[in-house]
Amino acid sequence: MIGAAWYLTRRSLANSARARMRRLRQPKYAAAFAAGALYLWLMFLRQGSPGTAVSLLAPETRETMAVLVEVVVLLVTWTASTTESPFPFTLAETQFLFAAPLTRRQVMLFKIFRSQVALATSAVITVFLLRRGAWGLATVTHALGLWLAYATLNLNSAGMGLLRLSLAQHGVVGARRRLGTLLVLGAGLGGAWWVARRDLPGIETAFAHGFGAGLEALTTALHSGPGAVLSWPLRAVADPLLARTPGELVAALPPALLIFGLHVWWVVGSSLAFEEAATDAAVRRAGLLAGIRQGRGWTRPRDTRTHPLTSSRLAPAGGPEGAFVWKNVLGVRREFSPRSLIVIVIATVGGVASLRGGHLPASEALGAILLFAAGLVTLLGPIALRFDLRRDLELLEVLKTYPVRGRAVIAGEAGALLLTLSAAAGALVTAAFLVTLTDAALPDLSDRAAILAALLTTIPSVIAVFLLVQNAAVLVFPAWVTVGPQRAAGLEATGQRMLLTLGSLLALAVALVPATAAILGISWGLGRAGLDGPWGMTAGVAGGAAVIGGECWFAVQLLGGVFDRMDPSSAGIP
Amino acid sequence: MLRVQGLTRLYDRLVAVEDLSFTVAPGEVLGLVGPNGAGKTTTLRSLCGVITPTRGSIEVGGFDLARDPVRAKRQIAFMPDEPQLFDYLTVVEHLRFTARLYGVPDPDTRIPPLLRELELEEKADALPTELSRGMRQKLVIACGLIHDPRALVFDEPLTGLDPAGIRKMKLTIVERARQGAAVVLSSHLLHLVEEICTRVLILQRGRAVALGTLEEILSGRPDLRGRSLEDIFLALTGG
Repeated sequence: MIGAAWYLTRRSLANSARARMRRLRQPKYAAAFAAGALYLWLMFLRQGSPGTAVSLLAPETRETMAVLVEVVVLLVTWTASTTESPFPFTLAETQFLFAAPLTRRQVMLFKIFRSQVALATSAVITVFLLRRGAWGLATVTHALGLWLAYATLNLNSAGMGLLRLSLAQHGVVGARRRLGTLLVLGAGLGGAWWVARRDLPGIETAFAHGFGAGLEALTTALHSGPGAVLSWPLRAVADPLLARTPGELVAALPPALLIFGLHVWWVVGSSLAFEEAATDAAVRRAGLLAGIRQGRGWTRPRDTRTHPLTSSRLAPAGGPEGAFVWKNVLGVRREFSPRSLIVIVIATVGGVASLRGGHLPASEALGAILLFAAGLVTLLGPIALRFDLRRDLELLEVLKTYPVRGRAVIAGEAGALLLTLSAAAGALVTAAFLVTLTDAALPDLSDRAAILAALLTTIPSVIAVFLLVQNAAVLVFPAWVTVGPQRAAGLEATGQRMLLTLGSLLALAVALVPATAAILGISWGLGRAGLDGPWGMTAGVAGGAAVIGGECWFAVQLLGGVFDRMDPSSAGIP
Repeated sequence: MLRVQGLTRLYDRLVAVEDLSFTVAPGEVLGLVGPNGAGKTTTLRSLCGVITPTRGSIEVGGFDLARDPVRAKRQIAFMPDEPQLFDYLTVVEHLRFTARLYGVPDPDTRIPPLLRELELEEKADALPTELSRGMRQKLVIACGLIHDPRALVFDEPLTGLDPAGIRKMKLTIVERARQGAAVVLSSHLLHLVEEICTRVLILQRGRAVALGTLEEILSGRPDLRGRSLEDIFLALTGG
């Protein structure tokens, strides 16, 4: 079984590398590869010492920091992971492995082995980059340690995924089946709670005296008494990574391998839930043959508990742009899960608490967080959300059969995200304004209202420019941008994304030149008429936004022509 | 209804379709057959405006596809062999979306009978990810029929359908032709072509090697008289 998995992995890697090399003959891929390589060199491989401040700390302190990172990773994967099946099988794997005369245990081992190759590669690359390209024994030992940590955490996440599935699908029966796991988990969490209650006040007091003292107290708690017992598995996983000499690594390996082995045993032993999850996923995959045949993966199936299929009705009459907007807004709504909302609320509360720690009033802390979130929505939203041509261009043949001009397709496709993101960012800045309404320490209310009005007119313009650049990129260079719900990987993909981000900023800068002229002109004119101050500035900003709107309209006409001339057979959509 | 004149499509130096001319009148079902790589899909995609011919012209309902694509496309529906759907729209939402794009004034009265006809009623609120291959194919066909097109283009319409679905699909195609639609159908299932097509166009290496009713084709090859379409096809394409 392992031999077959190794053969598949080896040949897949070789063939994938060959395909990538062949693709580099095309200038656009070669340019993107060069950009990606340059980026990595500038960021990681440039002259500098591979040592970091962390390596100067005492071994116990480094171990404590590693344990903290592990705890955060575990909590995030236990709570925020939305993976339906912890072992996603490709269609080919489903067809070959499930039909082959193999036991479930063998199938599981096959999958675990294949995932280890990816994790080991990732560990080697990470260590290579962090050591700024320096090769040596330390690179090997660190990579080995990092791979063990990755592998154990990955298996833990898979095991917890199986536990979640079992509980979600079978309720009490599932809980009875997974009693051993639940008991261990309960004992661990109970023990952690008990230790936290006992030691936390002292640790808090120590942190009040400084970060170093706090870390020292935490380290003592993790290395003595019940804390040492509870944290042992986490420390065992971290120790090979922290080993500085081959001798330390050899000493750290047995406990780490024991934890790893226990995880393998635990996950493989969960084969019943695995069978349910994998078979379920395989059935759905079979239904998604078309998408997978095009090599673009598949989207998460609907969970009727979290994705109700209510939708506003589409009026039969009206322009085709409206139909595209309606379609994509539905897509955004269905992609957004309540779990995302919980994460946002937790992040906001955490942010407010940390800012209050800096003696900022609660309203100002919340206002700052809301403004920060609005900035993220405006600048990153158009890049992160892909409900436009970036997703729909994989259905180019269908789009081309519609009796619709290209400009209407472009306007409609980009329109949904423009509306959604503008509404979200607008709501956030308005909320920031409202929560600080009575704050006397801030500038005059009228001035703040003027700033709010300026932001509300600026935000859609910025989002529109970013969205049009993203959609222009997918139209003009379809082979550069990942089409469909998933993102591409690889060095050239990194380069492509980097060039695209630079392109977005450049386009924004170009678009801002006439807009800035308009802002300055209008503000100057109003100033001459005695209407200077924040409201005069706001009027200028509104004029600038109108100029950008005109530029976007012109861009939509141009891109519409590109869409009309686009030929699916030669577009090179990857 | 459909008029193709000198259709030629090149992919770099590869000639996919060369100098193809034919017409399909209302009520006619033209079967497009040929071995793999003969140019069938290129022809169908050209007919629907998905790809632009290198040379030649295509008219749909009197509208030139190159000069007036919007009005030409309003007359036609393309049902590809591989159902391509938006993974975040339900069955009904796909129909509403398509209806709006084609300017259908009364989608609410057209959708229920279509769902009934294609046996999709129970799946009206399902996403494509929850549909079987056959159901997805039926949804694509429902989307194609909602605007009552005057020309229908099917690429392997029976793929993925169960026996009952196959019978129903054949009836749907024949019924639409009877109502006056011009139908072009590409399939490797020669018995299907023989059963429901009024004329046949046999392609090989991008060129038409035969066009007409079976009787007309046999008049040029009396040695094939009494043989099945499969035998005629193999004889004409050298298979």
